[in-house]
Amino acid sequence: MSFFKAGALWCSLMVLWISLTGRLDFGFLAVGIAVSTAVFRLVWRTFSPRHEGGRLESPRIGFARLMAFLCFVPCFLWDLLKATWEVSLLALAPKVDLHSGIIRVNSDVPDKSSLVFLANLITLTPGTLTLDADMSRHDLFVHVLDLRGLGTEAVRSDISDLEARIGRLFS
Amino acid sequence: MSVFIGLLSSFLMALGLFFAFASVVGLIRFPDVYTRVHAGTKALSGGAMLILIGVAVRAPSWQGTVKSVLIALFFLATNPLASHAISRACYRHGIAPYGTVLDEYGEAMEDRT
Repeated sequence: MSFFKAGALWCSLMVLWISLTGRLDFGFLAVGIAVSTAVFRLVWRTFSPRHEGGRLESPRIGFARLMAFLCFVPCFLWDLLKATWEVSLLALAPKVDLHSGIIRVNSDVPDKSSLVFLANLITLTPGTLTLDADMSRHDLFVHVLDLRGLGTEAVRSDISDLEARIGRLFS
Repeated sequence: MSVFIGLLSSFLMALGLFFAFASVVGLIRFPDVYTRVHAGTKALSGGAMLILIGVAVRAPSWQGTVKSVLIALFFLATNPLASHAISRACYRHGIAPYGTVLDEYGEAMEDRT
């Protein structure tokens, strides 16, 4: 783990402490420094790159990634709103007529953490919910709320769009 | 300015309330566990997000704003995990999805055993 990454982790813990306590007195800050250091000692192994199974090198933080992230957040919030709206419409429709199904989607994201990220995003985008993931084969099992309305291929192409967006975020 | 902030936060909270109501209706009306998890996850997280953003806009101090944004982030991070855990446990427990067109998860599990 590089010195820079360690500093970034410690500082973000400190920012979290300040925003949770909401006080800037000396006493509170001293306790925050102690707590941040303790938590840092406990969790830094999780953030350092592993060589077995996981990714080999940690991602770099650069301008391009920052821009990708800034474009990603509004897209994601818009998707979430759309998902909410569609489920609400289905719930309030005069007749509940659902043809749900579970499809298997093979993803080629490079490492496990972005696979988990992808699974979470699929759950929060319209009509789909991640049921399970096959970590060794990078398969996701996705439950689709209304398969007749969407179609299997449409769901697959939606998911590969999401994958491309995550690829820009992590690679 | 404060009138505008009040209107904006009231609008966001009203929209969130509508989504929360719709998700409860969905929880009651949808046919099986998996579709109900859909309602409970998506409609509810959208509704809660909107209500929390409304609170963040209206909060009188920066501490309140930061805290409600943090709650929204934790909500977004944990809600999909909970829905995944519930639906996976239900499937492994043998609760069959209702009226499915396609079930590739069951096929994959049969292949493995």
